[in-house]
Amino acid sequence: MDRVEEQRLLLDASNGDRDAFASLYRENVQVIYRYIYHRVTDTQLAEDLTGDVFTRALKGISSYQDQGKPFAAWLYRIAHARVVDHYRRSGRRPDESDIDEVPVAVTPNMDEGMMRRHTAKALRTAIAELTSDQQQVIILRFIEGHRIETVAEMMDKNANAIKALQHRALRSLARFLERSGIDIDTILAGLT
Amino acid sequence: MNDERALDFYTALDDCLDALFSGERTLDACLALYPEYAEDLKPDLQVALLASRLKSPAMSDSSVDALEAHLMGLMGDEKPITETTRPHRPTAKTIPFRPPMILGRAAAIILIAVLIAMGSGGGVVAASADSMPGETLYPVKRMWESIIIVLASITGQLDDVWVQLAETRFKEAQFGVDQDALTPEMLEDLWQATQKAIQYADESPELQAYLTVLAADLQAEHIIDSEDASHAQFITLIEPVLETLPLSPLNGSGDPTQQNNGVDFIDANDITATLTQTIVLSPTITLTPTSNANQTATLDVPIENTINTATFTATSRIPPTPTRTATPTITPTATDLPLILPSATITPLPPPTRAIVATAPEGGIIQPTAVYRPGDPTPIPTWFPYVRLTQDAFYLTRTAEWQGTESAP
Repeated sequence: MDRVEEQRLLLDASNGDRDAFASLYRENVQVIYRYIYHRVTDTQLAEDLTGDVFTRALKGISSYQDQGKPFAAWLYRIAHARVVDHYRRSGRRPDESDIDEVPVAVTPNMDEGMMRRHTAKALRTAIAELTSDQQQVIILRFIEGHRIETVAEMMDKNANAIKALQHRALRSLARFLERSGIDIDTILAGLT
Repeated sequence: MNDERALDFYTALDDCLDALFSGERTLDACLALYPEYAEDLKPDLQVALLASRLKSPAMSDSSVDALEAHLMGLMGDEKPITETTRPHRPTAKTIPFRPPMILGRAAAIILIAVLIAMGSGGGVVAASADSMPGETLYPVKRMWESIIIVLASITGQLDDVWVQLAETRFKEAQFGVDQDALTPEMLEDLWQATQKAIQYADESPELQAYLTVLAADLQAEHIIDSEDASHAQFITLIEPVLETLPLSPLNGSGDPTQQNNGVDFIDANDITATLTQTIVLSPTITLTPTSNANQTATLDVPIENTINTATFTATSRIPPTPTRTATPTITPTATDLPLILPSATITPLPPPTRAIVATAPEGGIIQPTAVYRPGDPTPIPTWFPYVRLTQDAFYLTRTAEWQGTESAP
């Protein structure tokens, strides 16, 4: 969906056009769901929070003002607020990983498939331990594949700040994987 | 790394990331392009590559459709939210048990038991159990609930917990009505908890009991004022849920006695739901010997083996016919009261008499402390005028002190 089409739908949706809002919903629901999932690592909870995000978007669509940013940027901000609120209500900080998410140590007899699963789990755990802003950058930049300028727009920060966040987040992840005994060279060699 | 070099490094990193993901350059080519940063670039680029390969789950088509139908319903779609289009509500049986670590779950079960014991014992947490919104201890109560929810999500007991929390929010809303302090936030909380209870305990008797009482209360408009626009959203949200119950829909028209499948009319006060629950935990340990002499132990704790029994009692009642009642009107009348002025009368009292009473201990000797002998000067009373004021008169009272002398026996 190009920007012009999105702006037209936003205008219609803000005037109560159900089909227009449905189109915007369909266009963005999976992106928002993935974003939330990577932050809460629970599919059921991610569905609940995704529903919450679009319900709130629906309530606010009549007063939505297009500031030249993608509609998704607004949805991401709502999603970010919902995730933060979830952790606040549950009394758990986002960087407190669940007891079952702590990866076990790598052993020499792990086969390639097991090693990959182990690495994926360790990586998810490591992402969950990042700060909220760092999590956002990693998800938007590397999992969703947005360019740095788009991420900056979505997070309402300048591009240089996002670049610095990006480096700190990647460095933290690398250290975590190293502590978990994961040899990234070996894993990457197996992926190619 | 100084600021300028750091900025250059960030730019080099971002350039490499773009080139790497677009397939323009390989990792080695990136490192060769920026040899001065190669050592720092390598781990960042490697982790970025790994992160980009993380699989992302997609929301299921049925969930996407259900959520869309829910949203359209909220937008005032003519198409009502029906059983088939209602948002996905997995039953307790379909809730995925996220933690695969059995020890973690067992530990959480024990922890829940300890926490519940703490909550029902003494201290601030127990004191907060009955607190209501706006009260000092209410945040403690909500925080405690959050802890229980997190643990219940680990043990798979969210169905029981959310039904209990929905009932708690319901009581709080009723309290709000009683105190004329029901707020939109309390309704929002009630809806959220009810939604969660429906989601996690779709078929449970406890949920049905709760919804029955809730529906009756809404029917009687104890909580919801159908004329109040601020409550309209709550009605919109809860109405599709309650339509499935054997009660008349909200804001229904017509004679209520002609509705409800044989139940003429149910007053919320006449409904009692008796719930009994038995949770059976039968942990078993299975040892599986393998060829290399290692053993695998599996601890199976069937925490879902819950037996629920619900007993409902409802009393039919024909709505009372309003009758006119005369109210007497009492008009107070005022009359002048007589003015009473106090008058004083002085009444001299006779001189005091003195009696010496001595009590000897058993078998003991009385040792007088003061002796009056004939011929001693007459004791002179000392007057201490003391004025007593009563409603009718003043009195003068006198007292005297005996001026005796002490002497040895």
